Amino acid sequence: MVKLKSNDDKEFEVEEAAVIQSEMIKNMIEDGCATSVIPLPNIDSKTLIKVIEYLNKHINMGKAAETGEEDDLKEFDEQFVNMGWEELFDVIMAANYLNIHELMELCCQSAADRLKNKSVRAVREMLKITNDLTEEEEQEIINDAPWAFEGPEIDDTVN
Amino acid sequence: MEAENPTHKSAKLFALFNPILSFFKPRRRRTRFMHLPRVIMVEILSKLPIESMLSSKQVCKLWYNLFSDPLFLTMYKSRSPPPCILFSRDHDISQLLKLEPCCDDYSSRLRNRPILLSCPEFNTPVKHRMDIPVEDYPMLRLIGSCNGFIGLMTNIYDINTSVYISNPLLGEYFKLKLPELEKSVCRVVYGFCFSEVSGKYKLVRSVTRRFTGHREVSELEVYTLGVDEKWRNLGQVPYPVWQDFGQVCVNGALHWMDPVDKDSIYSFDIETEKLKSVPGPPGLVFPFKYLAQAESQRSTCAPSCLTLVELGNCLCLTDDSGSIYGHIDIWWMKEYGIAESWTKVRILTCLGPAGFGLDICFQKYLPILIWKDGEILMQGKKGSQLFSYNPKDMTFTMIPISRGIGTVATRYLPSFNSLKTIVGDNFQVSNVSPNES
Repeated sequence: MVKLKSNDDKEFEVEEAAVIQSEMIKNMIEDGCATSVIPLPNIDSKTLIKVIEYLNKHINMGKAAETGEEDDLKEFDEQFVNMGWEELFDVIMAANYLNIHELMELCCQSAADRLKNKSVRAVREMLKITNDLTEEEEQEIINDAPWAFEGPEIDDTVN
Repeated sequence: MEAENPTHKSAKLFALFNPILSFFKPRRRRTRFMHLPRVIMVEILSKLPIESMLSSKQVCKLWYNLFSDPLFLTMYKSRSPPPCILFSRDHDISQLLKLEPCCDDYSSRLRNRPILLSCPEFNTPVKHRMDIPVEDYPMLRLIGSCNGFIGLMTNIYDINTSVYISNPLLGEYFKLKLPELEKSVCRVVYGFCFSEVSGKYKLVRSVTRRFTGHREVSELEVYTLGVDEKWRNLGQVPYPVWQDFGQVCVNGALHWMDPVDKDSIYSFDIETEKLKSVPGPPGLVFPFKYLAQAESQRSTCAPSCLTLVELGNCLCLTDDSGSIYGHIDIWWMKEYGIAESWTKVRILTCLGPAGFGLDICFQKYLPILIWKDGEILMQGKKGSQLFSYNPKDMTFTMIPISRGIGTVATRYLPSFNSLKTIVGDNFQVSNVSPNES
């Protein structure tokens, strides 16, 4: 068992087999630096709980294909990324810090899927981005590839 | 009750002080997209589909710059985006077809064989730019497509054509300034290629001059984009290039067939600029009855059943002379440069897609590309159908296309690299004067 401590001073016990999916912690264990509690100053407990949930589920990912549990895992992943933007970004930051490649891919793909085919207005609103381009600059960008701004698939809803 | 439950009381107290306590803890910032490190932003944005990337440039200044950031360009390329197809109709690039992985209905897992997903009306990307004279529009013809850029020329029937290099995704173009060729030049054929070794784009052209007594001399000229100030003359070539250089790049070399002596394939090494002859399939009987006739009529486009193609970095030769019998042959040069390695694979088009008429089963097909699992995407030469052929179970799948497509399909690799990275601003290009060569 490996003990992790979030930045709000909560401790979590995780099986070594699960936690070594994090390249960072794996290296720490290999270097013998993980004898006591590993402090994670960049991750709060709420995010860490999500990350541990993911690590525990993916503990035997290599075996999943053999045992036919792939679909189960896929369903879990779909459910897992079903969270708000801020939470998603927190998990992405944590996955980046802990260097968990698969989790990073999953969450970034989810973010991209949510932005896919969205109108510019919808993207700005969803991600709380202020437009700092002038009208002329915006028109120039549209002129460069007008076909990317048209079409029935463009979705103006915010969700 | 309260006295019996002291924990309840302390919890109440804790709740009272908690906001004050948390004030002294590191303040939790609400994580927003714009707070993410640049590398993560790029990681997310590089997973978007092409149209979304292009429209996302309009979100804000930072995003606009991200899509030309070297970090983004490298990451986008490393994802090896699925290839696209450019369709031209009547010498006009009309559409960009995007091929994306499709989901297996049973397991909803991604298969490695992309299928057609969308087909934005493309309307020659350079068209909306006012800098191209209106009279140039109707004749714009694709010279070649390589590594994200395309070469276009305005008039194949006029030796004094205009040549454009374009990144169609970004709507960028660059007009090569070509001084007029002298009167003795009777034919110019252009090709566009990319050297993986040096990362340089090159235009090649075969310039044929006619001298007294109908004697013709063809010379090869090369122009490296962003490097050369003039076309470099590589000297006389013993064989002419007739219709076009084509698109067949294998092993770092551009390949074309000699239209007269049909069992000859020639290669131009894009990096070393050396010309070579590549052996054709030994013993292949070339059904060229019409050829001698065409040649005597000085036709520049002799009818041919053989077409060179590249499939999975393998030089291939398709022979559709058997199409009326319901088959086409693809010769694969399994080991590059080894004549004995040519292997013939027959595709029975008569077993074509169920429910389609004889005209589909017995027409000529041209392979466009091969997927990782061996399926081959083919275009009917009548031009309006796309099929995916599975060589394992010899089945065809028709690929639905929402709108009518053009007659020539060209592979195209989407790229966000700006033309400015390969040609400097106002880069002047001039011809080699015949006196200097």
